[in-house]
Amino acid sequence: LAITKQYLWLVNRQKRTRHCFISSLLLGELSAMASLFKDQRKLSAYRDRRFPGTQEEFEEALLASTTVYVGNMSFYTTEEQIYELFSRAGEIKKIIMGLDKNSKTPCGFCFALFYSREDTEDAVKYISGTILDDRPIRVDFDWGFQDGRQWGRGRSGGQVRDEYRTDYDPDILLLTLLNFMCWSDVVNISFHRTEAFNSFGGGDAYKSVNHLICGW
Amino acid sequence: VGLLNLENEDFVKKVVETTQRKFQDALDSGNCDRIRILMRFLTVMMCSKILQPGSLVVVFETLLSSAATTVDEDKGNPSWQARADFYVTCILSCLPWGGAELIEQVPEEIERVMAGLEAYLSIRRHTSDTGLSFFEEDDESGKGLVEKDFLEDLWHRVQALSSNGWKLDSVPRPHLSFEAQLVSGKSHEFGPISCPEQPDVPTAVSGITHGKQKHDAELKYPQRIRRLNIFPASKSEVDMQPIDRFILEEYLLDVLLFFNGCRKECAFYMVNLPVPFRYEYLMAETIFSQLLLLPQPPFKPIYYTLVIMDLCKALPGAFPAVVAGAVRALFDKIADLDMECRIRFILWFSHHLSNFQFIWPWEEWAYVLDLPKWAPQRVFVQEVLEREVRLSYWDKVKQSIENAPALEELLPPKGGPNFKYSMEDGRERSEEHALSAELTNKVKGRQTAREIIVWVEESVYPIHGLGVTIKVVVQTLLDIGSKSFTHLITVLERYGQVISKICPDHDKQLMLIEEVSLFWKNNTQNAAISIDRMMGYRLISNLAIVRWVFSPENIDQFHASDRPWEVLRNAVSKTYNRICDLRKEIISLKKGVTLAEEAAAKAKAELEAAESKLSLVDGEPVLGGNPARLSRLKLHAEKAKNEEISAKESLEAKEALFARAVEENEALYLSLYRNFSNVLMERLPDASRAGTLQDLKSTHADAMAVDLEEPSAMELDNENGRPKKSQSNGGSSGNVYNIGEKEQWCLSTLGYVKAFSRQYASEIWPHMEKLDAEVLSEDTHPLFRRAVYSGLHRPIN
Repeated sequence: LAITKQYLWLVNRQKRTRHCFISSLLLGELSAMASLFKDQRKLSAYRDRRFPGTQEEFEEALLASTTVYVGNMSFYTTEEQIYELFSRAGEIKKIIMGLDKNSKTPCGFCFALFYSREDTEDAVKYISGTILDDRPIRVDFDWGFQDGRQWGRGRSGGQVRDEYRTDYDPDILLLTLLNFMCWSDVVNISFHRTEAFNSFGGGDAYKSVNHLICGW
Repeated sequence: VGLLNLENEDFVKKVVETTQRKFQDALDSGNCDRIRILMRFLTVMMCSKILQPGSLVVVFETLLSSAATTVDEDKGNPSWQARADFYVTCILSCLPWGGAELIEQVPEEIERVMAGLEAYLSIRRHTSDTGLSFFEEDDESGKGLVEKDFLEDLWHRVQALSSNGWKLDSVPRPHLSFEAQLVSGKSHEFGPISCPEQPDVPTAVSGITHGKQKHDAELKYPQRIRRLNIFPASKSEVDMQPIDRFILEEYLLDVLLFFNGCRKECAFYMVNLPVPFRYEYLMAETIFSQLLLLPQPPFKPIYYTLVIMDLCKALPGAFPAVVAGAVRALFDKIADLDMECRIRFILWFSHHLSNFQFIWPWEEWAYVLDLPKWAPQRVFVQEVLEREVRLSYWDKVKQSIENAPALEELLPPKGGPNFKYSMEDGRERSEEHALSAELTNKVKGRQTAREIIVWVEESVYPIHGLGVTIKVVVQTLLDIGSKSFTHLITVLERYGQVISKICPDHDKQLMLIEEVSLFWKNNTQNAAISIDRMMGYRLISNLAIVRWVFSPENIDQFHASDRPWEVLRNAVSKTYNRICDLRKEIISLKKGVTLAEEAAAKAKAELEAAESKLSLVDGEPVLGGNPARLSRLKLHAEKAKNEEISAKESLEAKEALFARAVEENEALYLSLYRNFSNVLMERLPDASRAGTLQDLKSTHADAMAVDLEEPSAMELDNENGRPKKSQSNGGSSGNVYNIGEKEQWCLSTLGYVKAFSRQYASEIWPHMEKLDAEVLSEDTHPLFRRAVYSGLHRPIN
């Protein structure tokens, strides 16, 4: 009924508008109504400054991409948790954790690579804005992982946006403060889950992966 | 549009003509959504006086006549009834929108249509939903044969509407407010339309060819909804007439279809439908019916998960309670729920709860602890908790069940890797420990796979033998890769060759998988991931995985755990994805070949044209013209020709890969069915005693007590093998689980046979003759045959 009202309103405007509108409804896609809402050009409000190319090329890359960027994760979220959630969108090819440049520990983002474009789109459509590990995560198309993009680019070593973040888990707040104070070792503080984190070898684990990767 | 018609008749005439063209295109290509929506558009155009009612009736009659022909045994092809049913459904779904107008303006014609519809319904074959129903009992009780099928039910609702004078409130009638003006507009005619010919009846008619065609037809013209009746009609259909339910379902499905990808708008329209009655119960039933739809819903289950979440947030006072009610209702009937539906329910529920802090009144279900380990309700709770742990972490899930702390028993093990050669203090160090430590050092020292293979071949295998070699290598590499998914794939990428070298055949791959399962015995997720990735890197074949799934320790768990099934699902799914990818690649390569051929032909033609051009130089005829241009064209033609050859070669190579994949597919399904058949033959009671599932369920446990096997992994609840009667712990009635363990095992396994057959029906049908010959022979147990046929939607006789 709302839609009916909408196009009746448009009917009373200038001829050009109403011809365009109604033509697209009938002659174009049946989901023209829906496409009014789906702003398909707005793939991502975020524009990565490190992308080597034009805005057009950036958008093309996003349209073909099978990689998603996942943000606002807890620093403790594991690859297995990501795997379980994102597998519901499709078969996962790879997961690359975003790491703090200095401490080499996870700092709240990751990349997930799928095998198919369709699965990638489903991940963006259906997972973005939902909860992973108690936090609402953001899932966006990414222009493509390249070595080096796994490091946080903020001054403290983590993500730039974390410099403005206000919704930290209480234990992360202390960790971030420590980072700012330039403590290079991950201090073994007994917060809940730090034990789990360390038993997974959170800090060391990524050091060794990095070692394995960089060693090639 | 009706109002426009008053101002600009020509424009609207063009609208009508374009609609006719689009409609014809949709009919020709079989675009179901378009056909359906355009027919509704035609109907409302008729209501707004743009289209002559007579024209609409002609459209109805064209479709009806095509449908009647299709189901005619002699003139048509009854295997394609799905298309005929679809056309008739479209007609019926238009009637609520235009019935009142039609009866007023063309009463005789519409009576004729109604008579035609009635006639069609009498000549078509009643469809039973066997194999596609949510609950087993519906299949079994013959309910499907007696109850109305979807089309009969819809016809009944439309008839009720017609006897009510076509009056209804759930369909908007905006044209009524403009009636006075619209009447003065010109009603246009609609051009003729024709339905495509149905596919020919195959020359060699057999059960198989009929089944294949029927399967294809049902794939192309699927039934949009299968009702999941969770709530009593007294709750869900209040203040409604029968047709209202159908209309509401259409609205909901159309919103889900058109607003997929637009979360806010989708939720908004779902809750703001133009109907005068409350519908949250129906909304839940409809969405769940899509989530659980067999064989597949139109969108991934995760979409419906999101919609349910959004609706819970949009209607916090009403919808969450309804969802909880649906969950309880499904839980009560879970023993009968299809196995595929069960896993979807588990995945949905765990994901849903993870978005709402895992809050659920677990104390209501605490009684499952009194049920045997293999009781479906208990297994359900166990698997939901397993998935919750995967999405969060063990301590968190334990905290979430604090109102029913005893349920901790059902949580998965808390531990991590089960490394045989760990260097923890107090553990005995054997030679194998030393080997493992040596291998670890080699990996840390970044030796190549080649170097390690040499070490294995020279220092490990000759001295310690195959068993130890596999154990040491596999356990050590898994341990190095145990810290995360990325660690695992890094190890497999770098050292996978070592594994393939020591496990080149299925027997050794079986030992490999056993070792993986042992290493990850406390973590089902990682076991499944490791096996899946090894298959991905082609270190193990899907056939080896099937063999492992059907090994004794796993068979014993078929009814009590999802662990072996998850591994099997991954393996079959990966095989399927691979062959699908190959099909897509071949299509695109074929396109490439066509383009390359055209380009080469064009270049050749240009060259020949230039070569044969005669020009006069000093009065002498000279061939070729400009030599520079000629040589350029020659080069271009050569290049194009080379590209054509290379494109063809790529295609050939890909087609060879595809042919191999098809063979592998056949081998996989044959192996799967053979294994199922064997294990079922061992455990099913004699066909004479149990020919139907109902027989199986009522087989007394007493009778089975005599031939029970060694307890081993099968837990007996007391010496007689009879399941304990459970106490009612304030839970719902029917806590007594009186099906014996063996029977439950058979029911679960048969359920999986049906589920796999259904999910991969398109891949299985091409190999049907071979399957019939080699697996589904005369002496196959009838219950096994029934499960397979039911999954394939193949008639028993």
